[in-house]
Amino acid sequence: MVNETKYDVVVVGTGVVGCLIAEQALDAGLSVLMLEAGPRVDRQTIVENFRNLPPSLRHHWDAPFPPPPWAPVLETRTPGEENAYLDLTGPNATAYQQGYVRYAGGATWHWAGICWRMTPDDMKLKSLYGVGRDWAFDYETLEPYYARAEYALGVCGPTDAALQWPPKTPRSRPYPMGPLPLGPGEQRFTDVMAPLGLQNLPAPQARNSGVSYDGRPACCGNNNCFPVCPIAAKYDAATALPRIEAKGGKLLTNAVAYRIEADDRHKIQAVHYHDPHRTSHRVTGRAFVIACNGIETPKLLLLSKDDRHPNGIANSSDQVGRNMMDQPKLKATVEMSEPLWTGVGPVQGSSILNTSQGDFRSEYAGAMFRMENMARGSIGAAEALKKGLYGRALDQEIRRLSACTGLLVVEHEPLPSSINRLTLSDKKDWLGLNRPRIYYDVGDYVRRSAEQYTIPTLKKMAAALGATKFDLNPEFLHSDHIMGGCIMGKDPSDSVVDVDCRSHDHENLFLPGGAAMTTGGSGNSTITMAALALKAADAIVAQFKTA
Amino acid sequence: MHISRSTSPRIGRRGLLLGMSSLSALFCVQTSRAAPLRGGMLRSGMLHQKFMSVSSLLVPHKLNETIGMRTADAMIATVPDFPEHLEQLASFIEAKKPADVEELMEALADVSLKNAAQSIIESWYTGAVQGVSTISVISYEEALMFKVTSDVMTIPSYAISGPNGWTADAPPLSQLPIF
Repeated sequence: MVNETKYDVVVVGTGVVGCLIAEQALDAGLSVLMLEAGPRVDRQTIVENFRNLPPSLRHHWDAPFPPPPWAPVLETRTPGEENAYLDLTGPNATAYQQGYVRYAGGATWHWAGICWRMTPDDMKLKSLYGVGRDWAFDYETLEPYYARAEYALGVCGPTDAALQWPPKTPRSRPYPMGPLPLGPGEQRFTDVMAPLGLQNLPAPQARNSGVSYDGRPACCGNNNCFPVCPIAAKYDAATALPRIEAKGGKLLTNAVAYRIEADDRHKIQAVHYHDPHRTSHRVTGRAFVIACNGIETPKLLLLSKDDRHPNGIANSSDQVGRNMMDQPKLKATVEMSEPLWTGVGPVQGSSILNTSQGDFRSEYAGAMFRMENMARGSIGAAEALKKGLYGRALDQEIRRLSACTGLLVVEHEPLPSSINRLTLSDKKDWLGLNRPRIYYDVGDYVRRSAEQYTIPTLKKMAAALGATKFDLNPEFLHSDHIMGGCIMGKDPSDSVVDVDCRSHDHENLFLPGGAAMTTGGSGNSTITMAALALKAADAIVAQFKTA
Repeated sequence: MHISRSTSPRIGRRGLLLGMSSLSALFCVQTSRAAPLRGGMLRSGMLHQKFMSVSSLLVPHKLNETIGMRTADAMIATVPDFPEHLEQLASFIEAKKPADVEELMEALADVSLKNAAQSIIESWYTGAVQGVSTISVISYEEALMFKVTSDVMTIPSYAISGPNGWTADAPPLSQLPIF
């Protein structure tokens, strides 16, 4: 065992949450060590990995990020990888096969960059609709942190208040950049949906719009936000790491945290990690931030059980690993007689959110609808070639299928449920650590929504687009928005962290990010995770000042 | 299954085994992006010439000869009976002198030859060669499937405009690009 120097703040995880907190701490004069389970890989290597994939794997967002054996992931490309880590159960296990990246920079490598804020109502489900839970604070408390997060990530968005989300809700600051233009597909989708009362809003996106921002270039519409932006116009945490290092932060890669050590007064003293040679190391600090996503964070807490903490660290409530959430997703492919022409601009640039709000939420889930804007040339070609065409007929069919097909997506708001639970599997990973075992059931709230609301709405949307074919995949899929496993609340008996993402059980342990979210809403979770990270960073810095 | 790994993961140029997410079968993925042509791989210059000659009838577009050489290389190495099928296709074309791919495919009665012709077409359009248990990736941005929509759709990871330089305008569906 090797001992490292003591740091003020030890951060486990180098995704958006870890990087935001590390930089805030450094700016406050604190020393910071960051641990990353996986390697640090340069952007060009990932881009080349993507381009050299077989065509059918280029839509597998994790495929350009081959995991090293010591840092496996859930979304797998091969049976070998599946055998190395996957252990999902329950009626909707597939809907929790989350895609995340254990590289320096985390899952921001292949996030969509979409930054929908939650609404005031999203945070009061229990009091308004009698379902789920209420957050421990209201939207007004979170709003300034949302604004800071939008500036930290560089979020572009509409200046017209009528096109902003949440609706009729004051913003303390405008978006740092104006909106990106829509391509032909998303513009047509917007125009066709409007008469149905479905407002397709230009998405707030962490992509530089028209100008460079934060040392990164303007988006040039490379249409490859996932799996990787080739020019770093989209925020990803990897772009923050050189700045963190320039400010004095230290980054250790290929360092797999496997144990959090608490003393007899429940204060966290150290984190233990394995290197790729399976050698164990111990790092000590004064404050600890576990920000290695909503699966790896609860797993690490559970792995850290000891005599004084038999249920694991931060788990006196028995809520660690429970309430696992994501927005269960349904997809429908549509084919039309008229062209849509997706594939111009970013892969996602707009969504319908007014379907996520309303009194119906006492009965079933709200949802966000979207038409994906990925270029469909390779999909059209695969279908046309399958028909055995050649010559001009082949070209015409590829063009028709590329232009006249689209993918409609709906993501449902989840409820926190204690049965959706991450526990430690008996199966071990390459390092001999217990893998995460996750039971997942999307629940009747979501199923009712799909049956009564979202599938009928998808069909209406398809009809309005003039669809000649409508092919719904009835299986719920994952949206890669991992939430809930360290749920926030005021009551230490039924929650894991307080309003600052501080563990109720350990005063110097912070668990910010998706795992802390009390409810998930219908939109993408990252900007809320980033806002919670900044709120936690303020609390950490304040705690050092008063210590 | 084996995946080559290092502390800085890069998908291996050769021999990287991947499972196809959409298929239950496993494929050996070989990317020949930077692979130099090795002497003898094509077995004879004549075979390569025949591949380009047959391809020029099967695919009525401007064909990149370097990509053709690598494609032929991969097909010879991974597609069973490919050299024989290529010889037979070349002989058939020489004898029947079809005017275009449409005439050729209608005249081809032999299913195995028709399949061989189709696999050559597929390799040019997808930029990859499907073997029995392998997929050899030959090219990305030069795959012809992208050329068919190059007047409007982005080749993912490449840009066709500049900062905020795209609009909602699109050309007619019937206006096929010349390539």
